[in-house]
Amino acid sequence: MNNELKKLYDVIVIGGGITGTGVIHELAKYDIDVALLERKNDIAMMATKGNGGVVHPGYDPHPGTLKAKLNPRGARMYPQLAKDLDFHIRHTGTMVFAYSEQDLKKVDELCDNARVNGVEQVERITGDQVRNREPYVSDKVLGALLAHTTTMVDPFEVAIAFAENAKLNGTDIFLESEVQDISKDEDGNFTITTNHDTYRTRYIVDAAGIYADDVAAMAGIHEYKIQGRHGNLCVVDNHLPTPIRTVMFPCPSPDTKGIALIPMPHGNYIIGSTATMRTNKEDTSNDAEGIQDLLDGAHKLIPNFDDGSVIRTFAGQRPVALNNDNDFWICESETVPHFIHAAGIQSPGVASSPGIAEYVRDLLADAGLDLKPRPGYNKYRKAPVDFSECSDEEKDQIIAQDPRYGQIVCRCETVTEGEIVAAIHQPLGAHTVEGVKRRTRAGMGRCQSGFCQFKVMKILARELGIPEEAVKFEEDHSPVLLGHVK
Amino acid sequence: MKTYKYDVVIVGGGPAGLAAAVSAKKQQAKVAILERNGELGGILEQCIHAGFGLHVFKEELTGPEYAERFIDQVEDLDIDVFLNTMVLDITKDRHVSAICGEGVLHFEAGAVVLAMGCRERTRGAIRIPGDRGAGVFTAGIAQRYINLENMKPGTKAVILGSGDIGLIMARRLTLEGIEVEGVYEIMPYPNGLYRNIINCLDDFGIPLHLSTTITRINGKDRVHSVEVAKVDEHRQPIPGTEREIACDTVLLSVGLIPENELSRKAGVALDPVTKGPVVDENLETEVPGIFACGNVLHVHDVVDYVTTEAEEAGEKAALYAKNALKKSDASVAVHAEGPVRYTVPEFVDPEDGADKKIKFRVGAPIEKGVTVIKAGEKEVYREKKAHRFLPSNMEIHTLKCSAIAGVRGDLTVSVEE
Amino acid sequence: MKKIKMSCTTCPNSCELLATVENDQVVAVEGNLCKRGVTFAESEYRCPVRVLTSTMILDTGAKAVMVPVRSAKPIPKAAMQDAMQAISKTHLHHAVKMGEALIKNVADTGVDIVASKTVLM
Repeated sequence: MNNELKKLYDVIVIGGGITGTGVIHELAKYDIDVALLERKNDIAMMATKGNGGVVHPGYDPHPGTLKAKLNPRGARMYPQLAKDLDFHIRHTGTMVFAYSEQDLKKVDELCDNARVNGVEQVERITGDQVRNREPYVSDKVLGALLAHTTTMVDPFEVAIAFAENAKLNGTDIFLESEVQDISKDEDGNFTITTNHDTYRTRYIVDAAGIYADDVAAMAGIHEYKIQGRHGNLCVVDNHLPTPIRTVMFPCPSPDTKGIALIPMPHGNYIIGSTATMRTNKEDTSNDAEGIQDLLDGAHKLIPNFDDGSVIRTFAGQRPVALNNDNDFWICESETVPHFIHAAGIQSPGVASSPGIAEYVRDLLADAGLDLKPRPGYNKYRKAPVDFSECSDEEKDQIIAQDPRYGQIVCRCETVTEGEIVAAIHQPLGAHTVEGVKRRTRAGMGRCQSGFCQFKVMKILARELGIPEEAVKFEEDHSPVLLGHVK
Repeated sequence: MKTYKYDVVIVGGGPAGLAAAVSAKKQQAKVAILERNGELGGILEQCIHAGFGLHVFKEELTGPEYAERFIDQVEDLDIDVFLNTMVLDITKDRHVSAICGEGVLHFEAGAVVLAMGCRERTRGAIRIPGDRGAGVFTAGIAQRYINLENMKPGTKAVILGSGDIGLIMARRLTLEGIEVEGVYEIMPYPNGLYRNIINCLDDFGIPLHLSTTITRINGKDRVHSVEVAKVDEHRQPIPGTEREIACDTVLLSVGLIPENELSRKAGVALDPVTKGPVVDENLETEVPGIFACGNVLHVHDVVDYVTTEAEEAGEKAALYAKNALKKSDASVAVHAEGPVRYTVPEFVDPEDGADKKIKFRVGAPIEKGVTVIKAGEKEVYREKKAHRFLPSNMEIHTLKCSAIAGVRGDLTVSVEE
Repeated sequence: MKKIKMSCTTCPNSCELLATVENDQVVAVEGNLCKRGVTFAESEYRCPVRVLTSTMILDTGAKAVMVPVRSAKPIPKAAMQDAMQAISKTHLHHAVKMGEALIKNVADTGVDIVASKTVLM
């Protein structure tokens, strides 16, 4: 198609992680044309899915940084967002443990940070108070910071909710669209070339995570570099012999918050995460040393932690903007106007996301984008039915309408065929085995899809109208099955 | 919402559930089987290989044949079967709730028999690091794909673990033209039955590498190779012994775990070693009227023993439902000692006149030994002939009630070399 | 002289046999609990036989289901590949009963391939 005839977007957001989807969710409130380009076949496929999901309240960042500003702001927005966008949220609180006098000083520092950063309901408690609240905690813990307002989310569920709401409000979302070139035309607009198509836009928000610097470089911008900070994580069975209800951290080091034990919204736990810088941006493999570090870390918090309760191990990379004191890199480019960086979004990226989105919106407005309210804007998004949370009466009603809700596919997490079919046909539907898992939890439990994978495969093939051997596990070239036996 | 009343409700229609149902029905009980799948038979339906039935039927049957013999009896005896019905909850007072395509079903049960079977240990549970692409399967799901779905999980496989399903699958893959590079076992001895080593590996020239494990899986989209390494006596990889093997498929046969999520909901106490319910000699759990049998109780080596155990559980459940189950207060605990990892049952009644079937497994191979049971210091049972004990084999010994009559204090089961 | 490991299938004891072979003759057997182990070892050395199991496609037009099949009796190991090919080539189009012969005299072994499950249409 002739380039001039192409639709001119007001804003194109590059990258469909928690940052990019947060931005399109925010921009959907305004009467502008917005598109999201994501190179993967689903959203939330990089740092967002390799993440612990803690909505840190904001006691951690150094006052005066962007993190200190956006983290508390974002975290405060979560409870209302969870209501509007119908995603799961669990109020857990956080404890940061002190094992030494030096740690206790650090805890005091964090309490001071909290005050300066405007984070409420943060207190210092004694070791006994810690163990009153969480009886399995190590008796070596002398005291702790207790932040009451910490919540837990599944980051990919939030990203999907953000994106689905934006889509309902008219945002175009293009998956499998890898940006390959960006040029600025004579009229001042950008032309973005992907592996499939070209797009025109007045503004760009670069939320490409670990590749944000590479995307910026395509537009001739070389203002910062991104490197990955690799982290191992473990998923722990929801039946832990030493159950906990509060997120637990050791005292942080300059680069990392340390290895935490995290109760997740649906009842299982995450141990996360290690922190080592990597140069290979694609490397999300995990390693035995890292897993051992996690288990050691868990034992430091809960001495009787049962290693046998681990049901899955994985890893992710957080995008770190180098030479930036570990802060986010969010600003308009100095060299290319109308190009907004939303980069270096390492921890606490999930917590900060809604705050970052508003901040990016303001940067766009400052750069001249006219933001009028969108007529007919719908702030809500309805999640598909979560059958396991229904009462018997509700279950009966749902099954009467669609008997597929009476067929349990995933027995570990009680996920029905009806829910999987719904997840496939949502506005941003699942079309891979892992996509179904992230949306419905089918395969996320202790059998790790040993019993349900063949059923999920059949449902995906049937609903997508493709043969089973064409069903993907996750990435583009990831067939689960390689043809027929006979 | 429909409500049903039965003397005995059996959760699971696999080999344990089928045998328990038939046996309970023979006691004139009103019996229902609740089965989550669309047909009875459980895992036997995908176990198309022969080797079942040598004890129970004195002939070598395939899994489906073994199942069909029981399914026929269930039909002949007019036992009520609820298919595609998933039990979601069991209470202490034996209220069972389930769902199916017609909605929520409630069952008031005189007795409940837990017969949910077991699940396979996964890659996550044994924490193999590396990439997380497609192509990593438990042996059981690969068996399902090949035998029931006619789908090929891959073209060249490495098998980790020498459990029976892994060995059976090594042969099955080879017969269907899928290359098996080798079977790797972290322990210094194989974990499956000897018969399967000979008939499934040796027959086809598939190598078994002992004291070797997979240390890394490579391939972000789909598996393209694995790294294996020799391990030391602490099962830790020995640096320098790593070797990379090209393959597109990894099959895991690294252990089975009883599936006791429902038992837990019912408040049934679980044994930390077997991961199955703690039971007495009637196979009754610590929750009165709730019985357990088969692989949900402890992982068995051959299905025939599941059947005999389940027949007993079904009979006892039927008696319980009719208030006819003899029970005295004189119960003594049975403890595993030395090389014995666990015992089933954990409690017996020395006064009820019935002989006791004591089942156990050892933790490591013993070349020659005898089973010894003591009551305190007093020896109450000693096996006559010394033999080899293997972790892959379940031991079953009958302890005469007369030998322990009047005994106070716990029994200990051990193996003397 | 060579030693061959065998698993006796005569009875459920499943003895682990070690047969010593000299001049193409089994001269000694270890590991057997009874005399039948010796007989087994001799026949296993001369002509090892196995029950072969596999699947056949039953094509009902609307959908295909897999029927588990077996050799009614053990067949010589050497005939296994030929038997597998015959099984793969056979497609069923009708309901089958457990025990029903689906391939007569497979690979000239004198043994039939039979259905090991009743599958109704």
